[in-house]
Amino acid sequence: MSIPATHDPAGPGPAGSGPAASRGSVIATIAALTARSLLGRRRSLLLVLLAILPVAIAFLVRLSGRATAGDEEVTTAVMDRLVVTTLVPIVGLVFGTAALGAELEDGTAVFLLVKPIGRAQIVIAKLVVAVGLSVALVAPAAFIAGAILAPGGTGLAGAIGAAAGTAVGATVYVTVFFALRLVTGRALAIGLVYILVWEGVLAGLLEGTRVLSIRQYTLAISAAIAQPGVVDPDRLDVRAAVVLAAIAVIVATVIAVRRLSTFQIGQADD
Amino acid sequence: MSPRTEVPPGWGAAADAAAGRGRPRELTPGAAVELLGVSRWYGNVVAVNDISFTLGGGVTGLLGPNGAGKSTILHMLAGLLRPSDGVVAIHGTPSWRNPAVYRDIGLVPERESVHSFLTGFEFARLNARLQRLPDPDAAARRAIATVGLTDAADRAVGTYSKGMRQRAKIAGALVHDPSILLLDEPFNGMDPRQRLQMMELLGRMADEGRVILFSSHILEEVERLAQNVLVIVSGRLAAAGDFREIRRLMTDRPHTFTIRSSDDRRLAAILVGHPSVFGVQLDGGRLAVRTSDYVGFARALPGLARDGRVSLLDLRPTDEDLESVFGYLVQR
Repeated sequence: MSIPATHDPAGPGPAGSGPAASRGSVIATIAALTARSLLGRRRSLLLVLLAILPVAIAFLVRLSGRATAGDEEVTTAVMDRLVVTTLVPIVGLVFGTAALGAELEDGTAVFLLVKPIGRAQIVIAKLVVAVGLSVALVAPAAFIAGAILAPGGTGLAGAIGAAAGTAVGATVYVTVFFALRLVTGRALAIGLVYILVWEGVLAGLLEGTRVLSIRQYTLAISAAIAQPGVVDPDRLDVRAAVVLAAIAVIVATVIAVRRLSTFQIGQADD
Repeated sequence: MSPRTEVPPGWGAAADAAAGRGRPRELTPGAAVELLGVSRWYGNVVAVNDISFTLGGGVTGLLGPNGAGKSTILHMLAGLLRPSDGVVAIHGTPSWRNPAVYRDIGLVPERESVHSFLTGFEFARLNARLQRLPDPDAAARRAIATVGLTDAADRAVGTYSKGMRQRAKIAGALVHDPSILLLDEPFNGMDPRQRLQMMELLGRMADEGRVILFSSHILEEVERLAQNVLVIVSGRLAAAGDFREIRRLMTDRPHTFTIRSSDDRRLAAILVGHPSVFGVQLDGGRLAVRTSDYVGFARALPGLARDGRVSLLDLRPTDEDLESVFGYLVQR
C-alpha cells in the first residue's frame, strides 16, 4: 500500500485544509471522544449533584413555607450565591480545564496531537463539547430554581434571565479556563483563586475590577432580561457585559489555538 | 538503506558541538528522517547536543542509558518538542509546528495510557478517523489484525495486559499505513514471549519497507532486532552504524562475571584453563571471572561446570550495565 492511496482522496493537502465534510467529521470524532471522557469522570457526577442542589433547595424552601413567592432574600441566597457565584464558575472550571487537560495529564492527548488535524479544529471540537455540557447543566438548573422561587409572570422573566445569564457565564468560564490550561498546568488552582479572590472579594470592593469579572457579565445579562429597562448602578451595563463576554471568548479561543500549535510534550520524561 | 551519519564516521566526541557551528549544512535529499545539527536544552541542562543523522528503511535502534536523550530525540522527530537548535525533518519537511507530517509518521509513545474506556478496535478506529481515512472501520480491522489483537478487539483496552496495550498502541500508530514508525521503549514491561512477538512484528514492518526507529536501554533487545544503531550517551551521538561493528568494539574490552557455585575453588581452577578466560579471582565467597569473549564464555560455562561436577548457583555479568559499556565507547 502506498501512503497517499490510503488517505481520503478528498482529504490530502496541508492539515486543516480538507473539505468541510471531512473537517466536520474530524471535529465530530474529537467531540464524541471528549464528551465520553468528560462524562465518564466521577467529577462530572458531582457537578450534576451540585447543579441539582439549587433546584432542591428552592423546592424545599417553597415546600417548608418559610419563604413567600418572590422573597428577595431567599432568591438572592439561592440564585446569586449558589447558582451564579458557585455553580457556574465551578462547572466552567472543571469542564474547561478537563476538556483537554485530562488527556494531557493521563498522556492520551498525544494520540490526538500526532494527527494531521489543524489545531484550531481540536480547540473548537473540545470547546463545543465543554461549553455544551456546562450550559446543559447550569442553564436548566438556574431556570428551574428561579421559576420555583418566583412563580408567575415576573418570576418567569427572572428565570429566563437567570438561564440566559448563566449560559453566557458558563461559556465564558469554560473558554477562559480552557485557554488557561494550555498556558499553565496549574490552571485549576489559578482558576479557583480567580473565582474566590478576584470575583468573590475584589469585584465587591473595587468597582473597576467588574469589567474583568465573568460573574458580573452573568449578573448583568440576567438582570437585563428579568427587569428590562431597569438600570442598576451596582451592575455592569448589559451592552458592555455582552461585548466583554464576546471579547473574552474570542481572545481565549485565539490564545488556546496558538498555545496548542506550539504545545510541547515530553519535556520532563527523559 | 542503512543509516548514514552526517557526523564524521568516528566514535565518541565525533558529534562535538564546536565542530558543527556555523556550518553550511543542508538537508539530505530523499532522506525519510533527518536530524541536522539538532540540540535541545531545558534551561541550563543540555538534553540533546548537536546530533545529526539520517535514516532510511529497516529497523534502527536508538540505544542509550536512561536519561541519555532518547525520548527527547523521538519527541522532536514527532514534532512534539521544538528543537532548540538545528532542523528535524521528515521527508525533507520540518516536523515542528507541521501537523501534515503526521500522515507519514506513526508514533508509539512510552506512556502506557490509552483511553481505557475504548475497545481495541474503537481505539484503532479513532486513530483512523482522526487520520481522515476513507474507510476507518476497514483500516482499523486491518491494523488490529496486523498486531494480532483480533480476538481481543472488542474488549475494553482497560482490561488488556501490558503487552496487549502496547500492541493496541501500535495498531493505532499503523492504521494510516505510515512510512515511518517511531517507538519509545516498546519493550518496557513485556514478558519474554511478548517481546518476541513484538520483535517479529517490527521485523515484518521493516520488511514492508518502513523506516522503524525504536529506543531502548537494553542492549540485547537492540542486538536482536536492529541492523543499525544510534548510540546516545549524555545527549551526544556516541556511535552510529552497523550493530556488529559497535558490538565488536564492546567485546574488545574485558567482561567480568561473578559466579556462585557449589565449589568456587574447583570451578576457578577449571575456568582458568579456558581460552576465553584471562583472569579469575576468589573473593569473599564469590568467584569473579574476567573474559574477553562475552558470548563464548557464557556458552562454554555450563559444559565446563558439568564436566567438573560443579553446580552453578548464580551467574551475573558485573559491568554489563549500559552506562559502563557506553562509558567505554565514549572513552575511545
